[in-house]
Amino acid sequence: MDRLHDVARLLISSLVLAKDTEGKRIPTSHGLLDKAIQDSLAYFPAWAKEEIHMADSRVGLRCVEVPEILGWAQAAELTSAPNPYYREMELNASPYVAGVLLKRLGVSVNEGRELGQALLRSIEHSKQQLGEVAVAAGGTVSC
Amino acid sequence: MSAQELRSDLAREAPALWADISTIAQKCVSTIIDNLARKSSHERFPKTVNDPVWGTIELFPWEVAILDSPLVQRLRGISQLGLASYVYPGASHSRLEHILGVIETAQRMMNALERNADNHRHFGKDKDPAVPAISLLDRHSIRLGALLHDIGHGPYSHVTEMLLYKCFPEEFAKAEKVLRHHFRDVTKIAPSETIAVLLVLSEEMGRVFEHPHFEAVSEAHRLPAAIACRILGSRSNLYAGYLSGVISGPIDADKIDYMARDSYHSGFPVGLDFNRLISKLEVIIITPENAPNAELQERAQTAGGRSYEMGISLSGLGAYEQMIMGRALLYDRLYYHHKVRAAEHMLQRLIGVATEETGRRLTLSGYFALFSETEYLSVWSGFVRSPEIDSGGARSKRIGGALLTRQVYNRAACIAARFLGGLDGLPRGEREDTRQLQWDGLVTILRSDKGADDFAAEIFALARQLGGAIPELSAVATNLTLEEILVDFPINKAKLGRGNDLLTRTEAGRVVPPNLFFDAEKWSLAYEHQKLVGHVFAPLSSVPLVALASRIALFMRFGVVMGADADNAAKTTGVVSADWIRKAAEAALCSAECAEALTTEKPVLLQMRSNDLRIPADWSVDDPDIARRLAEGFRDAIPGGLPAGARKGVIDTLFDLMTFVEMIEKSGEFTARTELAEKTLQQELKKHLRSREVPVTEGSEIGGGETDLVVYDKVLIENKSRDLTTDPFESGLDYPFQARRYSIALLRRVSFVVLSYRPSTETSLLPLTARIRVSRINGVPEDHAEVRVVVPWGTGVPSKAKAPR
Repeated sequence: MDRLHDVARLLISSLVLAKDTEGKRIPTSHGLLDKAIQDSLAYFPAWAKEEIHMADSRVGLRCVEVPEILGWAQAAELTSAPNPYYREMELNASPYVAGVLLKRLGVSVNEGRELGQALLRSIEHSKQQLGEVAVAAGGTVSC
Repeated sequence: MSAQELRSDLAREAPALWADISTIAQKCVSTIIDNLARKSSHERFPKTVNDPVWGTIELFPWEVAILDSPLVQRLRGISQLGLASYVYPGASHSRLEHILGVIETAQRMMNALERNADNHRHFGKDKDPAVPAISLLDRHSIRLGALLHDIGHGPYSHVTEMLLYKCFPEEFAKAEKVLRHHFRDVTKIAPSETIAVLLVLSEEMGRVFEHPHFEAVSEAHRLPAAIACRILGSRSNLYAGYLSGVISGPIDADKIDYMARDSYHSGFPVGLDFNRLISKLEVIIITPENAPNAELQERAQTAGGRSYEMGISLSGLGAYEQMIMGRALLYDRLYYHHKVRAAEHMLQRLIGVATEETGRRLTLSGYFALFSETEYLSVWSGFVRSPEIDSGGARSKRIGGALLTRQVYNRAACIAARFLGGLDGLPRGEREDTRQLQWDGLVTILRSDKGADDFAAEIFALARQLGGAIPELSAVATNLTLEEILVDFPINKAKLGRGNDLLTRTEAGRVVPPNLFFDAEKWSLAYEHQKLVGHVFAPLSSVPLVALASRIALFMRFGVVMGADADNAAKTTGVVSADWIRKAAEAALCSAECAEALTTEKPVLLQMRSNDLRIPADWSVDDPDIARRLAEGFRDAIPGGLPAGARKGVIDTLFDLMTFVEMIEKSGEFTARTELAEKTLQQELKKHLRSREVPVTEGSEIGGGETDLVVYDKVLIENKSRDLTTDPFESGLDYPFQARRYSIALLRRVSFVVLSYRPSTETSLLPLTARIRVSRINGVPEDHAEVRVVVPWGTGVPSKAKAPR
């Protein structure tokens, strides 16, 4: 059985701990999260890496499982739904819940935080790159 | 990469699956070859068929040759919507009708894109004469892809899809890996798609495509891989790259046809404007300058400065949003209607039971017999016999008979995060934390078929016992069978498609994803999330019994209560009486906390946090981490939390036992002993507790064990004594849950054990703060914590000496 539900718990818990405060938003459009997952693969535990595949899609790099992972995160009430902005997801879990979930997955809080920080670094970097590409094309991007 | 290389890779990585596919292909191909052999394709004329959605559909001679064969005609007996016709009687159209519709839709999409490509070559300030034309290979691989994309479906499509996968789970995964390796841009592959693609790539079908009378394209040897790529939505094997998503993509012929067709036949209108949608498809020209991201920039550069993808014009976004929203409505009202889900689950259960009764699992080939779905159902149920497929016995007949006569099971309980009850009185932060952790515990188990089936078995066992305790439920309980309780948790069945793999072009010429103002795809995910509900289904006559059993089981297993909204959703308001719950508690089938939780609206379960605990001051100084450690132990053991009414008793008992440990240590009471009986330990403990005015009762006084104490009217302490021991916390110690033999309702989720032991080594004599531990008890159905407090004796240490820190 695939463990995408567990990947969702890992991903959200890690982001929550990396951000330290609740109620923050993470972009889910423009392939930003997909790229962040690829860039941070080294920080994922082995079982999670096996669940993740990257594809060179018709619109750029995509993680095949991202829609399902986000769906599980929503179904597990760890992210908000409905999201008024839709290009982002709002992290609903508290650091307390994030710590408990990581423990259940056999991941330490420190490891989770490192993964979350790696994801956030990549997202920021990709946003910048996206902005540069957009500016070069004569526009802006908001995500 | 040649088709032969691909076949070799598949045969090597997935030999059994590949062999089965060849067997299936062999049975079908001879008819196609015969059809082709009669006349050359160019001696025949295209055929026109009528269709309720598209008006007319034109088919080329080689397509008709394949159509008129078992490979495709089998789909005449497979309904597009499975058991949805039980709710929407008109929804009985077949997959055959659908694939013909997909051919026509794909053709119209190609016409629109070809027209747009031609416009790009001749018009606009950025006209591009190099926009590729649609080659014959592109055109016919798409049409053939449309014709063949569903040949991998078994009877009742999605119900049997996972069963097909389970025939060869590892080989399916390996086959997918091979396909991803050879073809670009392949995302999620359903098992039925894998089967369809493998059939297309088989040697047998290769003979069809290369038959001299096939004559669709001159490069016939390229057809298998090209068709496979169209079915998978890959960009490989395509001259006009903008066609890659026509069969499988964000706006594809499959979706457009099934939405239009399902809406038409079911009588459920969704307002899909497919004519506008198709007419607004565009060829998006991507250059390094206008690319929205680095990957597309690089792709355009590699392709000599331009690449081409399918997109939609800005003025078509409204029609696209309509499609996305319409699909969400179709999923909610048609595909996931609770009666449809119940019927599908009954069918899944029937197949499982038939497999048990025959002792044989259906092979892959067995799912591709030339039977209609109703014939399969009749055979599985045992009403009809067939030499090709095994029939079930009496149990199968019961379920199959119910299905054939539309005695579809009813909702006995609804399960969803938004229905979690008993949390309103908590502070906001704690309420959200508790809700998420409770829900997490439940989802983790019920997300798998095994977890859901095991939980159904628990409900069944409880229902049978309830029948013994509640006279008015007795007859129903006796007649109820395990097969008749179904736990359906749709999260693990929802297929979430890849969305927003689509591009549009702004007026300024930028290429962007089409969520400029509103992300319809995310909206539809949010809608689906809100609407998805898990169910416990049971026959109508047993709904009250199963409703009661479900509620108790949900609490006892997961520590959750579904509130009044769940009853409204299931239409079970008032079905379960408080008197039944009281009788269940009296029969010890339901704990006192459970009974209270099911009959009140107060907070039922609370998390144990470190600052809730009372720790002796000295202990916190010696070990600042002790409270956190103990709280974590409770959280790990009972993720759903402790019953609110019992939590204070647990906290107080913990503190009392810590003071007992300290008192024994300081007094040296046990130091010089050469033996220590459990009764002696018990007496010392009782004396200590009474000195602190803790209400304590001997177990024997209330019909329990001689070495038990009951404190605060609900907390049980078991007293044990051991001789030489290296590790007093070793998990090999197996203490039965004595609470079960008590007639009064005790806290069942937490057991306290006070264990006196004689340390066998110096290191076995633990520091004070290490003499208490909270851990999870495994091997029991419900979450259970053990608090173990260990007290050394016979150490010979003088009474004034201090314990090691």
